[in-house]
Amino acid sequence: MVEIGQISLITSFIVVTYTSIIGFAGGILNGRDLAQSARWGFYSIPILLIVATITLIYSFVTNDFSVKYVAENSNLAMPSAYAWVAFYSGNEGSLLYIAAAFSIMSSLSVLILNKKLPYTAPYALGVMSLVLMFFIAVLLFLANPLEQLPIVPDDGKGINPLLIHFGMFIHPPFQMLGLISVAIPFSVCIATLLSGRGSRDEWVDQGRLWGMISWLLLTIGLILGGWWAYTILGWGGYWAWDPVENSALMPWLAMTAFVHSIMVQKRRGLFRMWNMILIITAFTMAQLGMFINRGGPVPSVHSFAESTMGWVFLGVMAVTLFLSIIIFVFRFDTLKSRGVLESPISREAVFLSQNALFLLIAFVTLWGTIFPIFSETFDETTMTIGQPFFNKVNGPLMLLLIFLMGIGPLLPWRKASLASVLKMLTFPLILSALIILVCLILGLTKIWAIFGFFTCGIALGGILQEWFRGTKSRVKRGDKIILSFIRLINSNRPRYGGYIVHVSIIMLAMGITASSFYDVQKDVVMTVGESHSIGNYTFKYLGVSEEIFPDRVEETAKFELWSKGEFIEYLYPYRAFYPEFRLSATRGAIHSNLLRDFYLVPSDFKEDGQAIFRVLINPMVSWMWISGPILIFGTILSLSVRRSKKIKLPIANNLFVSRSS
Amino acid sequence: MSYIFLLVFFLIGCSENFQDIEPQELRVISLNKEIMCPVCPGESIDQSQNDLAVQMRFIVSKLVDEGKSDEEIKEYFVQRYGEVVLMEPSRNGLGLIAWTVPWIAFIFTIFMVVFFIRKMSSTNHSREVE
Amino acid sequence: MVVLISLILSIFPFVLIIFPLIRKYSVSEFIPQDESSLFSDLERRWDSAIEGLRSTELERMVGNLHDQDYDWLKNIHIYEAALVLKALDLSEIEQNQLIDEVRNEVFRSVLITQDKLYLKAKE
Repeated sequence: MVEIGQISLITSFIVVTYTSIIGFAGGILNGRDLAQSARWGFYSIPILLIVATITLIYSFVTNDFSVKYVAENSNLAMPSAYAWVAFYSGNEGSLLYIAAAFSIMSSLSVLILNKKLPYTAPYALGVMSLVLMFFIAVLLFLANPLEQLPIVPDDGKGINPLLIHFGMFIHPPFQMLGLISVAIPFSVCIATLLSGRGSRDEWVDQGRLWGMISWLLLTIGLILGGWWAYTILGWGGYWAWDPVENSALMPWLAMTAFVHSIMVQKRRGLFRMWNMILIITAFTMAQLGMFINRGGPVPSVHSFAESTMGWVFLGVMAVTLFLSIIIFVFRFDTLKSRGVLESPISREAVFLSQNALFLLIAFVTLWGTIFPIFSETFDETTMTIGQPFFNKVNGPLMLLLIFLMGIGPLLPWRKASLASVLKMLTFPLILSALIILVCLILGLTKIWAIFGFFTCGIALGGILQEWFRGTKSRVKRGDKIILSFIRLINSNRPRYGGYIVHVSIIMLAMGITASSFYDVQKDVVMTVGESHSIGNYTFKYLGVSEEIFPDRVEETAKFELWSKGEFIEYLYPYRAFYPEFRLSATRGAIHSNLLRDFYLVPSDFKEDGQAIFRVLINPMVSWMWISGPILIFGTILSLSVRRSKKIKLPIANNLFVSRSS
Repeated sequence: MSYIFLLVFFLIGCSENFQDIEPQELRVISLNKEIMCPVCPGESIDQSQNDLAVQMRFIVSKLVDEGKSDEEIKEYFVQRYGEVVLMEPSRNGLGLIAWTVPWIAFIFTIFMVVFFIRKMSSTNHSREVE
Repeated sequence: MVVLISLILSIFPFVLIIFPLIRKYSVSEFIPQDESSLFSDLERRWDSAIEGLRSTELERMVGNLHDQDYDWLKNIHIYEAALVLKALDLSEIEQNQLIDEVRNEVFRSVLITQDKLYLKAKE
C-alpha cells in the first residue's frame, strides 16, 4: 500500500513541476492549449495527493508500524478514529495534509478563475503550482511520511495525549488550511501583477472571494483553537499569546484588513497598491507562522520538535517576499488609483485607518514574538514576552479597532458631513452610556473593562440602529416585521452579512472583556464529602474512581453542583496520566450558561484521599463559542451573490473586445 | 429594545462573583500570572500543571503571607531563574525597548494615516474614461 | 494489484496533460472575453456606479444621510454611470432602455423629480 502512496507523490511532483512552467508559458504566450494542458495536469494533483493520504491513513488504521511515521505517532491502543488526528499530528503528516488540502482548494480556485479571469488564470496557476511544488518537494526529499523502517517495531510510540480531543478533529485542519489558503488570493494578486493587468481592477472580485474564504478558515481555526485550549488544557483560559498562536493571529489580522480594503477598490477604484501590499504581507506572515510552527527559534507549546525544517521555511519565505517585492516594483506604474479620496469623513478613510491599525497590531504582535531573540543576541539575557505584555499593548489597540468597526459602516462611501455623523452616533452613544450606567450599578468598576463594554456598545448600537430603521421603513410599506427584516438583509447581502459578522465579533469581544477582567479563580484542597462555595455556586466532592487503560491511568472525580440551594448537575472532571509520555492531560468539567461558566479542573489527587482542584468562574465565555457559527453564517451570506439584480450592459458595436493596449 | 435589555442583563454575569475571594488570594493569582514556569516555555506558573509550577505557586502564596511586596516576590524569582522568569519585560534596560517600540509604531501609524488621507485627497486624477 | 494501481496512477496525469496539446481545435470555438478589455472595465465601473446609487438610496432610507449629502452622492454616481454610457456610445433606444431599467431597479421606492441621469448622458 505505501508504495502506491510513494508513486503518487513522485508523480505529483513531476506533474506540478510541469504545470508551474507550462502555466506561466501559457500565460505569456497566450497559448490556450498550453494553459489547458497545465490546468488539466493541475486537476490531477489532488487525486494523487488524496491517494497518498489514503495510504498513510490506511497504514494507521491497520497499525502498519513498518512505516516510520505511523510507528512514531500511534500505537495499538489508539482508537482507529484517531487515525485522522494522528495523520497530521506530526511534522511529515501535517505537511502531507497541507499539500493535499491546498491542492484541492487551489484546483477549485483554478476552476473558477478560469471562468472569471481567463487571461490571468494561467499565471495564477503557475504561482499556485510553485507553492504546491515546494510542499511536495519537502515531502519527497526532507520529510517523507511514507518512509519505511528497516526493522518493524512491535508497537508504536503513540499519539500525543493532548491531541485526543474532539476539537483536534477539526481545529488543526482548519488552521493549517487557513494558513496555506492565503496563497490563493496571493496567487491571484501576483498573477495580476505578472500579467500586467492591475490597472482595471480585474482581480478584485476573485481576490475578495478567495480572501474571504481564507479569512473564514483562519477565523474558524482560531476560535476552535481557543475552544480546544479552554476545554482540554485545563487552565481555564483560551488564549495565551504563545508564539504559535501569535503567528496564526498575524495573517488573520492582515487578511481582515484585506477583506475590508478590497471593498474600497471594488467600489471606488482606490487602494490598488495597498491591497497588493496587504495580501503580500498576509502571505509572508502565514509563511512566518509555518516557520515558527516547524520548530523556529521561539519556544512554544505547540511547535513540532523539528529544528532544521523551520529554516527551510524561513528561506522560502525570504525568497517569496523578495520576488513579490521585485514584481510589485516592476509593475508599480499599473497600480495608480482611479478615484480620489473625497473626504476624511468617509467610509474609505475609516477603512484606511482600520487597515493601518490591523497592521499595527500585527506588527506589535510580531515584535513581541521575536523580541526574545533580539534580547538574546544583543544582551545575552533571555527575556520573556508573555501574556501581560500583549494584553497591555494590544488590548487598547483592539478596543480602538472595535470603535472604528462601530463608526465605519455608519459612514457612507465618499463623503459625509459632520452633522450627519453626529446624528448617527446619537443612539449608539446613548446605548453605551446606558451600559456604563448598568456597569456602575452592578459594581463593575475596572476602567478598562468599562471602556471595553462602552466601545462594544457603540459598535452594536450602530448596527442595531441601522437594522431597526431599515426594517421600519419596510414595515411602513406594509410588510410584516420579521419578513421585512429578512428582506432588508436580502436586499444587500454583502453589507448585511458583514454586519452579522460584526455582531459576532462584538460578542467575541464582550466575552473576552468579561472573562479576562471578571474571572474568579481559586485553588481548593478537598477531601471526599467536603463541599465549598464560590460565588453562587456550591460544589461537593463525592469521590474519585480510577481506571487503568493500556496507555493511561484515568482518575475521574465526581461532584455535585448546587446554585443558590438548587441542585444543578453532576460534574465529572478527570485527569489522565500517560506514563509513556510522562504527561498528564486534564479535562475540566464545565457547567456553562449564557451568564458564566463554572469550570472545575483537578490539579492533583493525593495518596491520602485529599485532592486539589482549581475552580474558576468565567463570565460570558460561552458567548465566544456562540459567536463562531454566527460568524460563519454572516460570512457565507455576504459571499452569496444574487445575480438577478445586475443590470447588463449591451455590448456596443463600436467597441472592439480585445486585450488592453 | 429587547436586544438592549438582553445585553445589559448579561453583564450581571460579571458581577457577584467576588464575595468569596480574599484580596490576598487575588494578589497571589495575579502574581502567578506574571511569573513564568522555567521548564515549560511560554506558560505562566498559573497556567502550567508542571510539578515545578505547583511548587512555585506554593512559594508565591507563602511569600505573600509573609507580607512581601509584589516587587520583592518577583525579585526573589528573578534572582533564582534570571529575568526570563518574568512574563513581561522589565521597564528598564533592554526591556524598555520592548515597551517603547509599540508606542513609536503607534505614533508612526497615525502620521502615516494622516499623510495618506491628505495625499490621496489632494491628488486630482482625471476620472475620465480612456 | 499494487503494480497495476501504481501504473494507472502514474500514467493518467500525463494523458491529461498531453490530450489538450494534440487535440485539434475547431474554428468556431468560444473565445472568452478578456477581463482587461475596455468593455469589461466599463462593465465593472457601471456595476460599481449602480451599486453606489443603490447603497445611497439604502443609506438615505435608513436615515444615515442628510439631504445635502444624499444629493451630492447621488449626483456623483449618476455622473459616473453617465460617463460609462457616453463611452459606450449606444443608440438612443438602447440608452433609454438602460436608464429605465436603472430607474426601476434603484429608485423603485423614490420619486425622481428630475431625470438627471438622462440629461447627463445626453451631454
